[in-house]
Amino acid sequence: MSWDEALAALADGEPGAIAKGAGIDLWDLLKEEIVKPDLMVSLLNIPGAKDIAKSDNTLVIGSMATLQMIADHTDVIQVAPSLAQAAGSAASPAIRNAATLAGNLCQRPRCGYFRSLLHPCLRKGGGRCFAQDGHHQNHAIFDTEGCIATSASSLGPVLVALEAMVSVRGPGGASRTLPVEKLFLMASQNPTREVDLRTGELLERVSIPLAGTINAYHKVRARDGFDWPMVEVAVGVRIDSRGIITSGRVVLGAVAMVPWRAFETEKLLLNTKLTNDVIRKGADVAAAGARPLRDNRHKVDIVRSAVRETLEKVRRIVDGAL
Amino acid sequence: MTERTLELGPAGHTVKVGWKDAPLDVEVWDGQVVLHQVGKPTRRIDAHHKVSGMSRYTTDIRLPGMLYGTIVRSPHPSAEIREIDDAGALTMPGVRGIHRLASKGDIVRFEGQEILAIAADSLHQAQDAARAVKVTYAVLPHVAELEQAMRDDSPVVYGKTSGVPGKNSLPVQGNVRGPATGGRRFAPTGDVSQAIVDAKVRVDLTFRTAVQTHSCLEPHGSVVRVTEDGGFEIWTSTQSIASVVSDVAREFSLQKSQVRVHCDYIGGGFGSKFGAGIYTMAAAHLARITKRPVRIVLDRRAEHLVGGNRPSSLQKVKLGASEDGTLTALEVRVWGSAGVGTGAGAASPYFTIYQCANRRSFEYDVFTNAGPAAAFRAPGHPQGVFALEGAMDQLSQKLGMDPIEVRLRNDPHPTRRLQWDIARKHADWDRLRKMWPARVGDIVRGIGAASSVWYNVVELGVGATVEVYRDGGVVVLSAVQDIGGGIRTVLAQVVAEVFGLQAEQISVKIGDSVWPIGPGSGGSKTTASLTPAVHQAAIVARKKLAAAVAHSLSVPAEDLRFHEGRVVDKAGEILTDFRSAAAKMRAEKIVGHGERTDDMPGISAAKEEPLRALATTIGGVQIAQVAVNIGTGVVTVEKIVAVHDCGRVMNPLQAASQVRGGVIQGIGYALFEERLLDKTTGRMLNPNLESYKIPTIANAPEIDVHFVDVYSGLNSTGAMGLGEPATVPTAAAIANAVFHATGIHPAELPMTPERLLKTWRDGGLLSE
Repeated sequence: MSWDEALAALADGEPGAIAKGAGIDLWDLLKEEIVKPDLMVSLLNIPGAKDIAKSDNTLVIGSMATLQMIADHTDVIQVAPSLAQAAGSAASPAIRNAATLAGNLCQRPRCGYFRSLLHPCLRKGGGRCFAQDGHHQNHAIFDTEGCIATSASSLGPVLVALEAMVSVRGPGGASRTLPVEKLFLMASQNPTREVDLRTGELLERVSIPLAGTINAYHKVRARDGFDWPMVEVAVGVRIDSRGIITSGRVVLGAVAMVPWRAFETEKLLLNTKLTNDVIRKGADVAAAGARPLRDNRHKVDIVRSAVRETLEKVRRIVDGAL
Repeated sequence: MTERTLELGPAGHTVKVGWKDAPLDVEVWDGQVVLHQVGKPTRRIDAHHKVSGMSRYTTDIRLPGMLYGTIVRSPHPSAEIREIDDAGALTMPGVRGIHRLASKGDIVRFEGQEILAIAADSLHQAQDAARAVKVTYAVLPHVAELEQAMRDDSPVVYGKTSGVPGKNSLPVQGNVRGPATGGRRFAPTGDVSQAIVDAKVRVDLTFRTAVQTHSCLEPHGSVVRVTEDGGFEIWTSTQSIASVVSDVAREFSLQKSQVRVHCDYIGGGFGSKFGAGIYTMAAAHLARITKRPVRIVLDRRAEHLVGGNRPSSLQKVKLGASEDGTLTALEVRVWGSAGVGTGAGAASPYFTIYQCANRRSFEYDVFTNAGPAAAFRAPGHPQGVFALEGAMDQLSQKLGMDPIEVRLRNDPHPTRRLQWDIARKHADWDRLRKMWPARVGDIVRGIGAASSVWYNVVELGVGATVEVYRDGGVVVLSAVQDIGGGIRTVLAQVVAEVFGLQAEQISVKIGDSVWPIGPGSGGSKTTASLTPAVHQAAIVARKKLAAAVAHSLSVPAEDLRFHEGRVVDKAGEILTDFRSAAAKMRAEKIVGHGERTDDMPGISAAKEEPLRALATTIGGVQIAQVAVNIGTGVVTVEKIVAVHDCGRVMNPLQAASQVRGGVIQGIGYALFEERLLDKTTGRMLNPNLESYKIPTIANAPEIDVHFVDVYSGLNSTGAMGLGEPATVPTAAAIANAVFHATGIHPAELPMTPERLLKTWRDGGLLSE
């Protein structure tokens, strides 16, 4: 099956057709009866869909590449070690061997209320967010007015930090390319969808610019191994020959429905060297604008700690590069 | 009858104890006996079967013509059933039968309560039919949380018209039943109020623990077939085959001989798999209705909702001590919720570890709209020890004394005193306790300790058969089940010991109710209850064998000895090997039967404390080393030193595994495990193993296990229990290590980053 054949099959099956990668999240959703498709179209065997290849100025990863393939790939480890690390530390070995890049980006949130058919919540088109005054220890700290579930994608923040682009294939072979940052939808933008894919569109591949970005990733989770992060941080910076940051992104995961850019930190880092003072200040402002809930103020503390850890990792790489 | 001298007590510290009127024919393994198989590190005889997938668990059973059953459950935590309409479901494809488990007008009191069971050709057909059942509910107010249920304005789980569970006549006020204030074992002593006033040093503290679900990897389930005599043959995952036989015989008015129960392997029980359970009964009813075998296995969601749990607790603890650290006052008030059930007390360890002249307890069961608790690995103890030992460490801090020193001042148990010496040495306690807390970056290290306690629980009346075949085969038969501790291997070791053979030469057949009744595996009593019976059966068989072959060997039967695979005479002269000797039997096989009868006087005959305590109480201590990240609230357990006793250690390899399992489960209780009920709907939010977090092997630290052999003489093999004491002190030791690292005792389990960071923020630790 080709991409266009898959798209045609999905179009034929409308409404009620759904694309399937490894099906890791999809099986959960089926069991929970959150989705009830009439037709599932597997994309796993599309030729080339799992390929990872370096061209002149980009590293291209097919959307059906598994997390383990990404974690183990020499070019990924060389160009985007933060991506290899995020892919290699997500979920469990069994899941990493099956779960795909597209599935990681497009998976639905893990909020216990969203996952319970018995709770008609905002994200399922219902009238209220049960987490607002329920259990929300690991929910959002940004954009917390409506649905407060968080994005479950660990690769999202890393790809945003790396300024990656995503290629989307539409009906009739029409393609569009957009920054990964634009793929994700804020809860306040759209409470029922997490990614900006239209009906009949499929995520075909992701391209990472080979721009010499120094990048690092850090994840904080309550249970070391097979656990969702409480906070994760991806950083990508470019430095000049003196070690001064000329551009950079600091992106937080598990704190909102989108990979959340810590703009205050990014501003603070610009045109500086990563001194202790800069790292501390950068960490302190990373959660600027956070609106934590009754029971998740700890995530603000953890953001500070995690950003500091990540920037220290970056500094170690910078020190090694100079 | 004769007078005999036994060497009893902890290894290295034994004493000679006289035993008057000792029966001549009883062989007692005390501290002087030399054993070759028992006590030797022996690989699990079914290890290969387990790791290669050859072991058949209940979930693997598929019978010809078998139907798949599923159970329709209430989605509401509190409601009246107005109507059950299953007519449509019954006509759906593949559906063969429906059995009602509730009726119109019934009140459901927890999410997941059973409404009816459906059997169909496939599981998916059964599930489709379940979705088509229409149950109309009138939703009633519910209460999900312990402290909410204690308030006067809370909805009441059991109204006036419906029976509150529990047999005794404790007062019930709203949802609160109690207090229970003692009973025989925990009777109040002295004048606690005055002793607290008089104490030089005192603490008054509050602790909380969450509900922990058993989370057995193999869910509860049964496959049931109607037999030709109108009874049942049942394959089930149970920790008591005998209890399943009894329950089903009673439910269907059958003879016990008409109910045959198999359980070859269990994928975890922890106390939640006693009795037939509603799923087995439903499968049996459906098997009768459909005249086909029926399989019902719970899914993970149901496991969490109805599979049992460890009750929550709220504990208010007062301790008073004199300046030298001697406890003078001890009081605990415990409120706990076992959901719609009872049994949430946690006061036992407050009475069984330390000496204290003035002591009292008040235990309350608080009803909530949640699935009933079940016995869970040392019921009441991990929560009780967490609070008691947390209070002891805070008392030690006020006294300015080392916490182990304070424990030694108040703990008379001879084994535990030895264990403290071993533990503090292997944990490098004296050095690290002074060197730490030490901070590197955000990581602060600490070390903490806690005591364990459990009891010598025994099930009498169980039996075993040992057969010797003419071809030299030796078989032991018992209807016991192996909950995971490795009783198969221990039975082989005991029989091998008696015949002078190797454990792997013994064939062990367990897990079938047609064989002699075995003990239930709960209370840490399997080995202590069964090995004496097997020991006796083997001796009887050996005597019969000796009698059967003595003539051919031209040696009197009483002079034959079985040693290292050979048969020797009194002088040690080798007569023949075991197999050749057996070949001289006339009968195809000889059979020896043994039963577990009364306990022997053993160490109880020592009369004086402290040794006498060994007759009833099992010790154990653990020391935890932790790394606390004060930036994230994440606690990493780096090492646990666990020193335990279980009478005679029958198989050190398996015993150490059991301790490791207990420690890892204790780490889950300490750091991760918590049933989350949504306040507004009363529904469980994490009925899975993704967000209900049990430890993975990545979370298992270095676990340094040591044993103190204790020769009790209480039964012929000297075995005592281990499964439960191994998990009792782990969470308490970890919490005390976090206390050492941060200066703030966590006071609430599990110690999640959210709770710790909040506690540290409130306590000023994060102000810098």
